[in-house]
Amino acid sequence: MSQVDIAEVSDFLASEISRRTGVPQSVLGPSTVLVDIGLQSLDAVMICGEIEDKYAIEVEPTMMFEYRTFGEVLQAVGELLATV
Amino acid sequence: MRQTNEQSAPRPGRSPALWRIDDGAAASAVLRDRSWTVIDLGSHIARLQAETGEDFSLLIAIARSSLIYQSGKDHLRTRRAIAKFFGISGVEQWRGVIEEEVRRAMDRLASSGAPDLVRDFVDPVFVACIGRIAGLRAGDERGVLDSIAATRELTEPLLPIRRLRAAQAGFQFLSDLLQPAGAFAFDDGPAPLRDVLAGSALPDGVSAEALTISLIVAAHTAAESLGLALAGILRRGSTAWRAAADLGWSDLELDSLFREHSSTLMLYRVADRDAQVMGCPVHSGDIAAIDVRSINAATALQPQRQLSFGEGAHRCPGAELARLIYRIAVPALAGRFPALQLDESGVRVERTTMVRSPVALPCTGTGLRRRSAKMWEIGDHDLARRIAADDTLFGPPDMTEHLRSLQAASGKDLSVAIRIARNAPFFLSGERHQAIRLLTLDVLGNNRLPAWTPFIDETVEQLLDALPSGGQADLIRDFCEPLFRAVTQRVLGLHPADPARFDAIAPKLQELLEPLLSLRNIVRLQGVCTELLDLTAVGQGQPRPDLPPSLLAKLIAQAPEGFDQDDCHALALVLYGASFNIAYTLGNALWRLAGIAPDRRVEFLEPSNAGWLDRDVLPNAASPRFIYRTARIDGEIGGVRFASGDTMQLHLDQVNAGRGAGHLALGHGLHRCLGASLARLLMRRALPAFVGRFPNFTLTSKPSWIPNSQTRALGSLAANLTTAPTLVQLQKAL
Repeated sequence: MSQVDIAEVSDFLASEISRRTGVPQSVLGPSTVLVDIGLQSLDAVMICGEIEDKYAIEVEPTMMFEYRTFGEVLQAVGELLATV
Repeated sequence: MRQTNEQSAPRPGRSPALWRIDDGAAASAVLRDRSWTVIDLGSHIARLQAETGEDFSLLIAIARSSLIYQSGKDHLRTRRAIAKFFGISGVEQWRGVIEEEVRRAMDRLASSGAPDLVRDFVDPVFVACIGRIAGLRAGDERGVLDSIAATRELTEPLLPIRRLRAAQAGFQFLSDLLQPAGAFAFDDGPAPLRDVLAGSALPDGVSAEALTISLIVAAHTAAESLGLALAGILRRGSTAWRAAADLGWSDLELDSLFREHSSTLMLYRVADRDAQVMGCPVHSGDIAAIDVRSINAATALQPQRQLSFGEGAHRCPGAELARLIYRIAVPALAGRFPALQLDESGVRVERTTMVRSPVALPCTGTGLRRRSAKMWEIGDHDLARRIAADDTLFGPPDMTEHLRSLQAASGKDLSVAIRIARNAPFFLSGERHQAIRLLTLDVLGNNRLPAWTPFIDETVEQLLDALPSGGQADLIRDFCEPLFRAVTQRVLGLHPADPARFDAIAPKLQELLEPLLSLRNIVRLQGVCTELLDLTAVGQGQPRPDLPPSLLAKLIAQAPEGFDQDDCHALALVLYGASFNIAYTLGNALWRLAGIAPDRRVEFLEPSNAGWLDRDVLPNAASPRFIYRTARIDGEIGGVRFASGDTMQLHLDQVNAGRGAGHLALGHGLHRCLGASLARLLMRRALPAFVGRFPNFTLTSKPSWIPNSQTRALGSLAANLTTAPTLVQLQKAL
């Protein structure tokens, strides 16, 4: 997957996290710890569902907590996309 | 004994010769011969102090007071002063203290996110015990360890000034921590070394404080050796580790452990006169370097001849204390953490000329580890039991609420999934859970199930009759699964219209237990549940008048408020999904039985072998891998803080390892498995019946395991149901 696509995934992921948690997108950075901004189990399931629908890949919600930060989750999603 | 620097020129002006000794008899001769003495460190340091103007006063005091550097009458008098304190009955007084500190350190190990046997067990036990035994103020574990590291270098040859300076600072730190004499006079416990020495007759110039500190520093050798010994036992494998928890282990193993895992590598002695050792002439000033490791290795058949504690006048005075610490610490650790394993990739052992010292012994299988931002892994039995029993701090995941929120957020119809969740006891708390528990136990309780025993026996016999005696069978397909289906479907009251289709998709019910399912998987599983409910529509099937009413019949007849017929149906289906563990556990138990010699299988399962089910079968063969609990509020357990909503994943393979009674294979507390009695009854009837019919069965291929993250289950277990007697059986018959 190209750099441009990763930037687009990053935007999408950030907007979904921002929508679910109420934290402004501009505040989210690679080192933002998702639990610290209030991400809950329900949010994880919903955000992963949106990722699955948009990119036609399977993403387990546990991933949102196994990788702690926004940057780590983005990288994991990027790696999943690269295998499609 | 060999000379290593080839220096043999005659005196005067002769440099001392260095003799390397790797023979036990020669070492014994040197250590016992008064021609050889210890290095005179005090004079050396005093000269350095005079030359450099540095303050090495404490080092000089230590050299004067420490048994390591004393010789002659002073050494003898100092040894006499401490002999009672460090004798067998003297150290035995400290047993309670050592046991308490070992327990405390095990809690710390259990709660460590990245457990390490040095940092979280050996060092804390050492600092706490030696602090109390010697009389140090408690509270600065790191400071004590760093100071000991700096001070014990004093035994190394030819130290540079900067390290002598660090040693002086280290001794100063420990000296400042030493309590004034009499500070413990009002405690209940035994008087610490510091107080005992204050009232003893010590040689002139020997300070009680300096002697106490020198003994504290020297005692760290025991901690280093304990770390090496623990690593050594763990490397021998899980059988050796678990055996270390047995009573009587220590007396059999202690000498071997000290011999194989001594931290002391070399002992040095200096000849203070011309003499002979084993026929070799040595001159005054010659140095003997005794290779402890090589000599210990050569005494494998006589571990009591080892040199780990030295020999002769300078034999380690702390040997009995070290033995007591090992006797308490090793079995306690092996008993509490039977699944402990070293993480070899992180093991670090540092060496100097004189000693080797474990610096990092990372390990797994200790208890509590953060798995993700919202999940903790628990492998420690005590912690797991506390979590399972504590219904105030922890409860099952509230799946109903989660699914309702998900339905509202996604707009998808999850009504069937919600109905399943609100009738699944492992997702419920409070009154609804209590109502389900009472209703279910009215059929599945220990006092109700005997009415089903004839039916279970009849089914077992039918299946055994159908097995090809002397031929091949798949014990999962031909025995465990059909037995489970026939008994559980009848007991629960589920009568599938299309049994083949029902049996094909019903195992997917197990997936309901997986944490944090994706929306896609929830929708898929909801489809499976809908089809299973349709296949077992209420009213199907012919009840047998000779059997008690099924659970579903009873539920519908006695449903309390809040339970309609669909709820009752959902509950029966959920319990069927959970009951797959009966089939899986039975299969696992048969697999383990196959590993027991045929001649022992029957006696293994005999009623006289009381407790075989809980001691030998369930802790090892039960199929569930995990129990889940969700934190209801923020809290703390095992020394770590967790947040409300965090998931506790209890790892049953670690929690149950080496356990008999007290295992958590069937859960514990309010949420103990509702099918536990049925599972136990089936095991008790089916296993002896199978082994009674086919005592000599053998496996014909490696078993295949079902890929399932939540369950440990066999997909097939190919066996030869031979009827030929074994050689032992033939001999007995003759």
